[in-house]
Amino acid sequence: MNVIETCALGKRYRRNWALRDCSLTVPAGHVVALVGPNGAGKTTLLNLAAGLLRPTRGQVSVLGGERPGSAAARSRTGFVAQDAPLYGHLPAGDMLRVARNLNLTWDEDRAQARLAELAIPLDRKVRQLSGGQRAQLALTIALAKRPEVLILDEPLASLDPLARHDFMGSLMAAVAEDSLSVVFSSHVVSELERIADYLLVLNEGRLQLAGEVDALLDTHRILTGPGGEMALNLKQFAVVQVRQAGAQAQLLVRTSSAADPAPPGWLSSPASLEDLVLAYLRDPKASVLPGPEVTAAAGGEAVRA
Amino acid sequence: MTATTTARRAGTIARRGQVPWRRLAWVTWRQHRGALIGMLLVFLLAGALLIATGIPLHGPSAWRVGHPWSRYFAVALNASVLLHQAIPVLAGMFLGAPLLAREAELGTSRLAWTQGVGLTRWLLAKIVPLAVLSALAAAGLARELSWWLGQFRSGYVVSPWGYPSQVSWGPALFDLHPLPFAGWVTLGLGVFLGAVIRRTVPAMAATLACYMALGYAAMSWRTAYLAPLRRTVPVQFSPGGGYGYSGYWGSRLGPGPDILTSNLGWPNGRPISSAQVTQHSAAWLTVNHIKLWVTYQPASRFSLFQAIEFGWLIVLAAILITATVVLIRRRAA
Repeated sequence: MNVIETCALGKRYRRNWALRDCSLTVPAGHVVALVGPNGAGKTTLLNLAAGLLRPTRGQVSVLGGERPGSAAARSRTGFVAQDAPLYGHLPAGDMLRVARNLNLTWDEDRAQARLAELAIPLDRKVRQLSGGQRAQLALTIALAKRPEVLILDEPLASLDPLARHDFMGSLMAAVAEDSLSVVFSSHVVSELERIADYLLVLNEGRLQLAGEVDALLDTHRILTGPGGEMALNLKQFAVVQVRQAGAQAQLLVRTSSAADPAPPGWLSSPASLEDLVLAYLRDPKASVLPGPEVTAAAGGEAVRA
Repeated sequence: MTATTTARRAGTIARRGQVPWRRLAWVTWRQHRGALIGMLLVFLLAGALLIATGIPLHGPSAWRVGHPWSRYFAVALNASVLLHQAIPVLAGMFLGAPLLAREAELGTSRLAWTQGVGLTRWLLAKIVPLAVLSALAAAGLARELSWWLGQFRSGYVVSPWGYPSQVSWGPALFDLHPLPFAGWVTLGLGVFLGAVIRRTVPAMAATLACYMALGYAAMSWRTAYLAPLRRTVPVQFSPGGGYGYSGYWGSRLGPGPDILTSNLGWPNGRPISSAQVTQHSAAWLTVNHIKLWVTYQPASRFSLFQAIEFGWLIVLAAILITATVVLIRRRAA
């Protein structure tokens, strides 16, 4: 099952296309990081998947063909919007009760246990809670309806490092407990490897890269070698990025397999996820779009799962 | 893995059905109880004001015709009428306009619209109870108002608004009678503008402006809900150039007709200019059967016009609420 599937999806706000011709499939059972700079269309894509927006072009479906916003999709999707909106004037306990009364399925015991564990005071107004507590409350509400997919829009953006760590810890615990799929957007590129096992890179409203993190890391190498003309003659690789440093060139290349040997005179080293994401983001026009083998590998995984 | 899948499937089946209205009603109450209680307090305050001024009005008191204090009372009455006219606007501004505008402004609509409950259900569970509650409160207050206004209609108590008919038909008081008043206290306009504008304060300002425009339009339109009737009133011309007619025609008691225009004219209805009237003698005017031509809405139409005003207001509110639901649903998927 694909938790999100889009086909030539586009969304236009007045004259600007926030998302263009975006076709992707996100297989279930992953923690998916949706990465891109500000204004890349991450929020638009997630809001489309949550049923909060209507596509201008193309199609989007969630959870194996459900229309976003349909009754089935809404009750099976947990969504935490950007800045984790909650009713600030309500005490945390009443906020939880409001959410409970807006849902058919609700795991009250677990929600209460989670809030007790996090020591979130139920009688305190939501707006008086710390940013970290608010984010945890929003996550608790999203998890209490026992969703099959959890969509989080920039969950880490407003959190301090400690709260960020705690939040990701709770999220990972929930993932392990429920085997739910998670899609979260982030413009924080570091630490992604620790959290996500699937990566989507969105840039200027277009999908740039999609695939499992391991597969992406296996098929990207950093080659260091003589600069100048030589760098351009490496035809067996798809070159994502070239960096000239004096007489040396550093290339981020995409190979067809992990076993590709480095050409003579070149030193091959593994690329980190951060290197890889930054390389793609830095040059949206010249970058190499995900090759068919990456997509095929992802598809294969989905079938096996 | 199989166990998990089965559990998931069982979960999926349990998800069928709809969130009960009772639970949604609690959400509406919890979220809006502040505004609702505030609104009901305004109604209670207005009601108390009516009782306080109404009791001396109905008993033997200083407000009777000819009493020197009666003119001070007129000021108080005018203030009270003004306050009552503000009530529908207040309901629209403070209960209606923020209903969806605040959700949009604070981003909490993104929370509410991604829960299990459907959009239409969520919207109706919010709008309908608030609209019905405020309309019921308004109807209660308006009943009290009609008791209060009744004394002025009798013509026995001094009316600060002139003729007794003005108490029924006058622009300040027509819509304070029970049916139109309950109709004006509908939240549809505020809710719709809040959904369109999506910002609380501008939505409140727009609600105020629209209420005023609508009130003005209704004031000009309500005299033409049905085509006015036309009749002549015989007049006696005096040699000095003036003229008079026998009393205040129609009934001095009860609502009385609403006189829209009155001109002197020829028997065929053609108006005669005031210059011509002053040129000719009283005898000439009498011989030529110059009469007073009056266009008016008869007293018997008062209840009908009240019902017509209530009717179009309710239809308008229903249209606006439907438009709100359609708009919100169209914007979302």
